[in-house]
Amino acid sequence: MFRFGVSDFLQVVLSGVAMGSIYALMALGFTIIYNALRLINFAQGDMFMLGATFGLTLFVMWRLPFSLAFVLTGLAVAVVGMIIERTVFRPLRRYPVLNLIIATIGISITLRALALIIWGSQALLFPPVFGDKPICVGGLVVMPHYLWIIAIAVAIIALLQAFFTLTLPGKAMRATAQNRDAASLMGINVFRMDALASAISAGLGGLGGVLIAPVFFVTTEMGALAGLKGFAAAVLGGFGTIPGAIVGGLVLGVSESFAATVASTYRDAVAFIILIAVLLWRPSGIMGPKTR
Amino acid sequence: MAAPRLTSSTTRQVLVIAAVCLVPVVLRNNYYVHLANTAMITMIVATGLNLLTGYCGQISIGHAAFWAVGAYTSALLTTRLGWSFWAALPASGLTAGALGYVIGRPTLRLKGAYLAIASIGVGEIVQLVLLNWTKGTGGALGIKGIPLPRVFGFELVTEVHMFYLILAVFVLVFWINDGIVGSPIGRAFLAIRQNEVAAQFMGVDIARLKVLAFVTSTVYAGVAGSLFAHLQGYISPYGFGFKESVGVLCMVLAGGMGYRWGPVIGVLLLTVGRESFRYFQDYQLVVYGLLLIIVIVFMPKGVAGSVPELASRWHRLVARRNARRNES
Repeated sequence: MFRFGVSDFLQVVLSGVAMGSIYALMALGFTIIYNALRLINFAQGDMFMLGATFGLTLFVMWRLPFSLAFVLTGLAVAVVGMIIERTVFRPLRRYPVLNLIIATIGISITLRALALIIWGSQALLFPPVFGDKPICVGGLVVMPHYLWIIAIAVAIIALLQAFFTLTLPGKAMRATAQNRDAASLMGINVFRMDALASAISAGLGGLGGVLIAPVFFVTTEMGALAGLKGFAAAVLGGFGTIPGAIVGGLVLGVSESFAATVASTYRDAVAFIILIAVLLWRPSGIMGPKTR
Repeated sequence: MAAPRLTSSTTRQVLVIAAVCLVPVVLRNNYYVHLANTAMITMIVATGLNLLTGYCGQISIGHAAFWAVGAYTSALLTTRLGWSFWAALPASGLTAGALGYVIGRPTLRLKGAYLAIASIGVGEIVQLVLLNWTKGTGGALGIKGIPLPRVFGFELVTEVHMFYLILAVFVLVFWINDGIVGSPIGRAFLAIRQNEVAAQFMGVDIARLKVLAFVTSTVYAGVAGSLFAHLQGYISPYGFGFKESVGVLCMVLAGGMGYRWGPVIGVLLLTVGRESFRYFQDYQLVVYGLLLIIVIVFMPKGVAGSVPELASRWHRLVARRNARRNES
């Protein structure tokens, strides 16, 4: 039987928060593109996958230092996001939402098939860049990558927050999300804002992927479940709100972590059970407005 | 000038069915007949999804879950309890429909994308239960030895036999569906799709009708699942995932949502497309994905909706050119 002491508890929370911050990054990706384009982007999980595979190529094959590989990966995936916005989302703007959703599914199929051709179907090993020796603090044994993931994710979210509140493009993006026509009348190039939103959203997915790569194996299928969970996290917190995405990600990560200690096989189901429960109890999510 | 009507609609329907009956004779290859069988099963699911999404405007991205529930119900009833196929088929439809009711009733009271979101969750949960509830569903190994259906003591052994059984069920489903779509209920569905508030104002009980559309479509999916289980003789959790749910939705959209023949055209288009891209080998899925995007970009109403439009534009173009030629 398992005994559940304080240190076990902290450990479960810590790993949950680490996974949760990855989900939060994914959820932010969904949120930002939803706010700009009113679009649920089913290719978001593939940005995650591209992050991991690009990171692998830059870090393992090209032997770049991890920090440089990390930044370059984020930029490269952001460029992919921008290309998709220009070639697919923009021509489809006038069409019903379902068409756009199916188009993102088409993008997802295409990207995954291309990745399969480039990187193959085998799971690839990403070396443990954050070190593989556990750190012992008191009775607590912590893998360093959990701490790194949390720290980096917090830094990214802080930067994003600064971008949205302190810079002119960030403010323009928020204005566009609130009222597209009014923003356009105020001289904001709303199409440029769409491109920027797609780039940031894709970049966030990519950074999440490269962050998690040293912990798990890298496969071209890894984006599917990650995408769905990021989406679940976004809905959980309140779809379309930035604090909601963060809270949703953390709640999801920690609850999954606890569920894994009880029934590890159903670990992945937790996200969706919570998702449905939240939809029934409070459809606007934890951080969303109270009214239905 | 409208084309003269050669046949009444009933005769036309009989002719179409008779033509389809000849398909196995023309194909002659077992593999192609098998493809035709799975395509018809997919059409049953797609017809339900068209009713729900195309007519009633509600999006479900988890329909493979109900397909799976139908398949597993049929498989378990026939292998464990020794039921006959003819009892298991309706039971599968009812079980899937019951699950649809349990999920649809609370979520469909909400507006917007909530059904889409909840259906994704349901799809994933069903998938995980099928994988992990080893005692009940056989886990990843699935269920083997699902018996072949019998008709008057005659076992349907070959793909061609199954073709006619599946065709019969498909025609029945299509016929029932046509009845629903043409009835006041069908018009109420369309009203909900157009404008929920206006529909409510006109006295349409939206919540109840949305549940009705959802449950009906899940019953179709369950029936399709049962046919699938008996066609394959073996089922596993793989093949009822998110990918499959999305696949059917893509077919409905590519074929033309809210058009009678939309799902049939969509399934044919994407099945044939996918098969013919085998030539591209590794690039098969790349081509498939790109084609999907292109169809969406250039034919937003799907083939059934866009072809008549393009045709009439072409006719006008030709007429104008002829007129000009006559002048000179």
